[in-house]
Amino acid sequence: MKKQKVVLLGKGRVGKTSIFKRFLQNEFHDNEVTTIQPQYLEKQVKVNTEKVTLSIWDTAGQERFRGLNPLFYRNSKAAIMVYDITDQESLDSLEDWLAELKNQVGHKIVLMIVGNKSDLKKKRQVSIEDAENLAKKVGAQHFCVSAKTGENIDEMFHELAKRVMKFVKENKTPLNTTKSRRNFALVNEDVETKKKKKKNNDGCC
Amino acid sequence: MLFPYYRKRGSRKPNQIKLKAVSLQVDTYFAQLRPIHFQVNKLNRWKQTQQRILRLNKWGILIIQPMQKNRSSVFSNYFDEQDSKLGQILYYFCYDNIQEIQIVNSQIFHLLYLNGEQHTYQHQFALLITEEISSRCSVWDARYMSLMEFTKRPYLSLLFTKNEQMEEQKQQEKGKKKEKEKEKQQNEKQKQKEKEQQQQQQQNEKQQKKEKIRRNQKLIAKQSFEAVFLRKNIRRRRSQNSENRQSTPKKERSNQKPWRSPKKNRKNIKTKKQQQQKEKQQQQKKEKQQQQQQQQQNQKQQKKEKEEQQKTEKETEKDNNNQNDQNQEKDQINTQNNHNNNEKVQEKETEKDQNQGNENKEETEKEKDDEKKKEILKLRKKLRRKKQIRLLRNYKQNFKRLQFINCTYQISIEKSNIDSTILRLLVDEIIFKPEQDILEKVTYFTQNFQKITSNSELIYTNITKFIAGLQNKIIKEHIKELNFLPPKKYNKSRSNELIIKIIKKRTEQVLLIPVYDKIINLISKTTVKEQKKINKSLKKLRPIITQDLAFIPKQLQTSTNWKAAIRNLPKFIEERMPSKQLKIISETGDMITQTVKNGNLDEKLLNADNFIFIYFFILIKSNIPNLEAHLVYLENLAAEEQLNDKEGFFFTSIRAAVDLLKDFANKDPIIENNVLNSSSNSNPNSNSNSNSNSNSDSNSNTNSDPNSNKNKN
Repeated sequence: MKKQKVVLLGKGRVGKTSIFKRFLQNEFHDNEVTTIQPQYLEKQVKVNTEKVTLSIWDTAGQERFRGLNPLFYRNSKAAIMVYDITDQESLDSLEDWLAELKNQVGHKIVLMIVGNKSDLKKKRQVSIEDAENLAKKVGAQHFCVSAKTGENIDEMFHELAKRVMKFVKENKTPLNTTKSRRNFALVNEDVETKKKKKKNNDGCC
Repeated sequence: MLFPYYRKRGSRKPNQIKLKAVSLQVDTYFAQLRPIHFQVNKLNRWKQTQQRILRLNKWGILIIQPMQKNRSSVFSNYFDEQDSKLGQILYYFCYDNIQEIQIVNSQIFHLLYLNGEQHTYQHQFALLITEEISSRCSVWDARYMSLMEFTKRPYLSLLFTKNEQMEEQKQQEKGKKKEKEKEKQQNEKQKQKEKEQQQQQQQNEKQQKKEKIRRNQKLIAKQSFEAVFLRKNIRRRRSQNSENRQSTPKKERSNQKPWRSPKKNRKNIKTKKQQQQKEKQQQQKKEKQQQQQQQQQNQKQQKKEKEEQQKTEKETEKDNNNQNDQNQEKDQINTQNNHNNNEKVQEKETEKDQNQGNENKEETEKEKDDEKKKEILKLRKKLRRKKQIRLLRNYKQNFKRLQFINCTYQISIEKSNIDSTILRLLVDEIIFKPEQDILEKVTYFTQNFQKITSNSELIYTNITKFIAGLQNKIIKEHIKELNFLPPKKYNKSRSNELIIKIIKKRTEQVLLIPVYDKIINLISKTTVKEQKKINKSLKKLRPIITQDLAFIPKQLQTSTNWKAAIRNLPKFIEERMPSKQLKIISETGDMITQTVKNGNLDEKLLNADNFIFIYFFILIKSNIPNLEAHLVYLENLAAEEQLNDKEGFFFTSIRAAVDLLKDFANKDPIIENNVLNSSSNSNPNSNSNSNSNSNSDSNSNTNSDPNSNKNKN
């Protein structure tokens, strides 16, 4: 499967980069990290038997760069929208981010709303119901996550990979280029099956 | 039970297929069967068992025991769930093994036993298989024959009989084999004859040498005898003279002349020497003339032989049988002629030897040998050159074609990517054939570029459409050829990705490079205003930023490889292919982030926010001309996959930095610089001076950051 672009969005100081780095640091089985940059990560996630490579782009959260962020949304298949559970404004601002995102990409995108810092339950300002309502409204899935403890991080990315795979399979665009690739792949499959047959026949007792 | 199943308890494994093959003698014809069992656990081993059966008996019966369901089989529709595997097995059997059987044995009576009486579609299945086999194997006629009468069991039998065409083909093959054998025998005979001739020649040469030595010895003996005789005479006369002197007085002696050898003798000696010299000279002249004549004759003979051989080869293709006889006759004649010629030459040589000196002949022989050796060496060199030229031609043709399109075609073979470069070359060979329409399409694009880009709004879409169309055309036309490329190191899927990448790059190279200047000119016309904005902001910011870099943290200023990045970034304008341009951009990005990777810099300092500022600074310092046009070119004409990749990430961050630059055009630079400083200082992670504050802030606000916790601990 091709690389699927995922964008990390959210207000400044919400913990986007810390989620990004936690996902990088967690070494759960069957996943391979291909390239690492401070703001760019390529990681292979295994869903059942298939593998998806997620290329995750970390974006600037400061308000002065908000005008520049749409450049990063181009051709993205999924977006992780991060808010701070101790900051109500961060959840409110997500709607603006969403509007920007949909202006740039359209409605065809996998969305995840992620509440970070779930370890700070005492300082909680955002209720789970509000966040889930927003997620339902937007058609996204909600996760509560802690980058500090690593709670739910792997699960969240695994779910994301699953949904991205499903989304890609459902929305295969019949472009000229993709058509040709399909043909090419089909021919190769035939060749490979023939080779397998030969191998089967050539084996010894 | 006629066919008792051979099954060991517990031998069956869950994911394995079991086959049972039983060979039978047909003479007994089902009345007295002697089953020989071969249990096979895997399909891989089926081939060997089959061969074993064929070795034992000419007649074989195959029994297949079904195991599991598999959807992939063609015959699965005709079976129950249990029997679907059987369908697959038979499918394999039909496709792979039948053709091999026909080569091994010409009379095979295959019986396929289908499991049990439960089978409902047996007859249909049998017919289907017969049709399949008859369609697959043109040599054989497969006929369905039910053995219900004989066995009272649901057997499926397939009778294979030979076609007449096959017999004819075999006869033809046999005839060809016989002809080849005859040719081989003839060649062997000729070789033997040649060897015999060589041996005879060697013997003759030895004899001639011995004779020469004898003659020389005789001559030496004669000469020595003559010399001794002359000396004796001289002594006698001297003694006589001395006696006369003693007897005669001094006056008489004074009148007498001193003794000299007689004139006749003297004259004879002189004349003999002169004659010998003259004879030698004449002999040498004659030898030279004869050698020249011999060489000419040999050359003529060789030419004749070659011509005859060529004729014979051509004729052999037409009529092998008739011409073999003729060739034999010709060869015999030739051999006879050669013999005669050789004999004549030998006779002449012997005559010469008798007449001439032996030393000259040895020299001439040596010269001949040397000449032959030189000729052989020349021929070998020629063959080598031909091979080299063939290999080079393919590459040169590509090179010429690409030169024709005025694009720079350089193959850089890196040590790490030898396989990929070989793949690249092979793909090039396949794509850029002179007969294909691809080159015509490329030339059409280059010549009619103005027409294609007449609509200013549709410049990029037209160009991208053209590129995509060409890529599709290449892939469609050359799928079969590209599929058979050798993937040495990589998997098939990986090699496919590589091939597609190569095709994309090549199409970009072929289409965009010759038109690059035109495209940039077009784009620069449309982006004049934005370029002006950039230039304006650059003018404003350059003096401030060179003085003060406060908006970038000090650690970043010292640690990042500024100079290398500033030098490297403007190089992307020199390249014309978007893929190469993106590669250079990613290289600069790597240079910046390398310090973090090496552990020289704290990861926190290089945020997504700071990263744009770093590019901002590099862009101001590097001073790239016509930057906006180049970025638009990349944005619209680079491959989407690349733009979604790491290279794309660096490119978008540059793009963001340029957009930031544009914003500065209409603002006061000093205020903005202060704003930048304040914004950078507001980020606690990025401020190097306020480490303690940053830690406290991060603990209070972003407890979730794992790195901050590490520092805390």
